[in-house]
Amino acid sequence: MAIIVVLICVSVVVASLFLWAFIWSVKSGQYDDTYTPSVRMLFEDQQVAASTTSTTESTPKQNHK
Amino acid sequence: MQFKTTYTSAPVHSCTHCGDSCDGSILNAQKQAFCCQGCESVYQLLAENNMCDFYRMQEGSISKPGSIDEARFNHLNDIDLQRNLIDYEDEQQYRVSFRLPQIHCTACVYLLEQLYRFESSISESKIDFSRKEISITVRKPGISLKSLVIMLHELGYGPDLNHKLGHKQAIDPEKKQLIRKLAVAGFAFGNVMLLSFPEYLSTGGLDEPMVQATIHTLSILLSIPVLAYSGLGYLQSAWTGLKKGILNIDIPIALGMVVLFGRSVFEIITGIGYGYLDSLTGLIFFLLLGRFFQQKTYDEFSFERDFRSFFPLGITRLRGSQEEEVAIDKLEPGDRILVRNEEVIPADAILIANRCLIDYSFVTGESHPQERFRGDVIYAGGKIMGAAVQMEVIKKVSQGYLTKLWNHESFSKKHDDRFKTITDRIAQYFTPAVIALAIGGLVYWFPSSPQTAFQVFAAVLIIACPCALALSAPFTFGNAIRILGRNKFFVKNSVVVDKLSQVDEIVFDKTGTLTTAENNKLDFSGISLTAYERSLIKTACRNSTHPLSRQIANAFDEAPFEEVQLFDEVKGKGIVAIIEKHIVKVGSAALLDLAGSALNTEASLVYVQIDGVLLGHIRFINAYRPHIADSIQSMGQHYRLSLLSGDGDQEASVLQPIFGEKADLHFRQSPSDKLDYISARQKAGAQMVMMVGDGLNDAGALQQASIGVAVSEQAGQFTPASDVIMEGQVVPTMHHILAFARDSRKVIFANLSLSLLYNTVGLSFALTGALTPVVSAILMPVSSISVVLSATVLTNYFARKNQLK
Repeated sequence: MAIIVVLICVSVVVASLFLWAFIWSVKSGQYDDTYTPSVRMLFEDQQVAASTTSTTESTPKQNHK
Repeated sequence: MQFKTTYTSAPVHSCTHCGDSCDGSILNAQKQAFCCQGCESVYQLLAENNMCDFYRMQEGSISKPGSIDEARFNHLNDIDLQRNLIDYEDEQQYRVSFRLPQIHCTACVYLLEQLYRFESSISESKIDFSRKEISITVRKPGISLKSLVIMLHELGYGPDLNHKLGHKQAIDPEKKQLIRKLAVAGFAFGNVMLLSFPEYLSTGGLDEPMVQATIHTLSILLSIPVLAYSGLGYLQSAWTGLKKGILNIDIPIALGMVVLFGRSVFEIITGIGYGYLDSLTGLIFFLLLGRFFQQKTYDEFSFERDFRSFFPLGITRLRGSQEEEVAIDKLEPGDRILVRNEEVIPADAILIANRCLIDYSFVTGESHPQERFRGDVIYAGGKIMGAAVQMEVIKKVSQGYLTKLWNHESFSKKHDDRFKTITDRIAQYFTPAVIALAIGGLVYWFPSSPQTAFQVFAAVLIIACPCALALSAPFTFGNAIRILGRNKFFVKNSVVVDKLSQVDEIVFDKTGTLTTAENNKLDFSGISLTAYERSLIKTACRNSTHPLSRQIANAFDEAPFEEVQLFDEVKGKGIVAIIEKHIVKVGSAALLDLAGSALNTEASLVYVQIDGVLLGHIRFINAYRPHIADSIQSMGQHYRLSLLSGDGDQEASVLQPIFGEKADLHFRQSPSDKLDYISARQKAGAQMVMMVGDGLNDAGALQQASIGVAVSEQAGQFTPASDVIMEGQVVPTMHHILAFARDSRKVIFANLSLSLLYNTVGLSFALTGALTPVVSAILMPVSSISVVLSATVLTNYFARKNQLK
C-alpha cells in the first residue's frame, strides 16, 4: 500500500511540470495572438523558394513558368 | 423614345486591384483595367514579385493606395518622435510596430508578411491579425522609418501612428495574470478532487494512516497557493470594501473562503474530519472562470481615444520662406502653417489662401466638403482637400474650439464610481443577512453545546458563500457581450451591459447617426429637365471619377451617349464637356462663374448649365438609414427620446412624428450645447442617459452620458472615446439590442432565485448542524454549474427571441 504514496507524489510532480509548462507558455506570449498562425500556415510555402532565388539574384524569374 | 437604340451603355470595367468600377482609361500592358495610378503600381509591384496569389485570397474590398505627399511624413525624421515609435533598436537593426486599420482578410497577412520581397533590408514582418498590428524588423542601415511608413501607405495600408503613441504597451498584463491564477486554481482543484475520492468512497476513512497523512498534507499544500495567489483578489477587494465601509459581494466570498480553509485545516489536523478543500478550490476556480468569461475584449477597437489620436503629430510651420516640422503642441498664435492635402487642421486658424475645401466628416459626420475663403476662421479638426493652403494659427491646440471640450470636467472624472452593479446592490442586503444568520446560529446553539455552535457558525459562512450569486452576473453579461459583438454592437465591458439594461433616456445625433452618407438622395431644383438634357448630364458625369459625379450618373436612368467630343475636369470645381455639340457644365458656382447673393455657396450644391443656360442645381441630402423610423418609434415606447443636431431645423416636421410629440428635438447645437443638454437631463432626474453619436462634435456628450455609443461606418475607423462602438448598419436594429439588454436582467433575476433556493437548502443543513463534507461537496459544484448553464442558455434564448444573431 505504501507504493500508492509514491505514485501520488510522482503524479503530482508530473502534473506540476505541466502547470509550469502552461504558465511559461502564457508568459512567453504563445497565447497573445491565437488567430494569425492559423492563417499563416495555409500559405503556400513560397518563402523558401523565394529566399533561394533572392540569393541567386541573376535568375530571379526562374520559377515563373 | 427619340434616342436611337444603339446607345448601349459602355462596358464598365472593374479595377484589377481594388475592384471598384472604372472607365477603363488606365490599362497596363496585359490590358487589365485600373481605377487609378496607385492601384496600377501596387498591382505592378505584386506581379513583379510573383505575389498575385494575393488577389485569389482576398475577401472584401482592398483599400485604395492613397496618393502620397512625402512631405507629410517629414516629422518622422524627428529623433524624439522616432524614439517614441520604435520598440527596439541596436547597432544592427531596429524593430517597430504599427497599427494598420486596413487589415481585414487573409490576403493582407499574406502580403504584409512578405514585405521583405519589396525591400531587402526588412528582415521580418509579422502580423497580429486580431489586433491589426504589424511588427517589422529592419537591418541597419536600411530603409528609414519615414520611407517605411510611405511604403505601407503606397501598398494601401497606411499606419495609424497616433494610435501607436497612445498605446505603447502591448498585451494587457492583467489578462495574463488572470490566466495564470486560473491555471493554478484549476490544477489544484483537479488534484484535490482526485485525492478526496477515497474519503467519499470508504465509509470509515482510510485504514492506512500513512496514506491518509500523505493525502491530507498534499491537499493542504495544494490549497495554499489557491487561497493565497488565485483567491488573493477577492480577499483584497473584501478588505478594501470593509475599510471604505461598503458591503460588497466579495466580503461573504472572502469570509467563506477563509473559514472554509481554516475549518478544513483544523478538522484535518485534529483528525475529526477531512475538510472541504475540494469545495474551496472548486469555488475559486469557478469564480475565476466567471471573471475570465466576462473579460471579452475587442483588441481591434479603441474605446479611449481623445483628440490627440486624431490630430496629426506634426505640422509644417513657415518661418519666412523656411519650412520646418514642429509638434502641434508647440504651435503658438500667430504662427503660419502649411496644411497639405488630406492633412488635418490641428488648431483654429485663419485662412490665408484664397479658398479651400475642408472635409469635416470626422467632426460632424457630414460627408460633403465645405468651402472656405480667405479670412475665414477655420476650426480645427477638418481635413484639407486639394492643394496645400497656408493658415495663421489664432489659438493654441489645447485652446481650440473642439479640444476645449476635452478639458471639460466630464473627461476627467470616472463615471463608474457612482454606478453600483447589480451584484453590488444585492450584496448590500445579502452580506448583512448572512452575518446575522451565522451569529444567530452561534447564539442559539451556544448554551446547549459550544462546540456545535462554532461548527454551525462556520457552516453557515461556508454554505452561504455566494458563489452562485457571484457567478450569475459575469456569465450572463459575459455571454451578452459576445452576442452583442456578433451583432456588431461592441461593448467595452460588462458594467456597460448592466447599465444598458437600465437606460431610461436616449439622445440621438442626426447626421451620420440616423442618416448615412452611403446612399445620398439627390434633389434637383430648377427648370424641369427634358430626357435629352438628363442624358447629356449623365454622359458628362459618367466620365468623371469624382464621388458626386458618380452619384449623379447613377441617379439618372436615361441612356447615356457614347461619344464625348471634349471632356475636362477642373479640379475642385467640376466638369466641362461637349456632347452632341452641346456645352455641358456641371459643378460648383465657381466653375460656372456665377455670382450674386442669391447663390448658395454650400459646397454640396452642384450647378448644371447647358449651352450657357443655367438649368438649376442639385442638392445632396443625406438619406436616413432604412427602417430607422420603425426602430425609433419602437424605442419611444420604452424610453424618453431626444434629438440633438448641428444642422438647421428643415427636417423638424419629418422627425417630430417619428420621435413622438413628447420628444425634444434641438437643432443648431454646438458640441458644448450637446454636452450641456445631457448634463441638464441628468440633473432633471434621468438615471441612465444614453447618447448615440458619431463625430468629434458629439465627443463631449458621449463622455458626459452614462453610456456613450459611437456609431462607426466601418470597423477600425476613427471614433471618439465611448463605452460602445456600433456599426452604422445596425443602428436600425437598436430596439432589438436594447430589448435584449432589458431581458438580460430577467436572466440575472432567474439565476438569483435559483441560487437563493440552493442557499436556503444549504443553510437548513448548516443551521441544524448537519453539514457534512459530502453535502457540501455535492451542493457547491451543483449550484455553481447550474447557474453557469442557465445564464448561458437563457441569454442565448433571449437573443433569439429578440432576433439577434
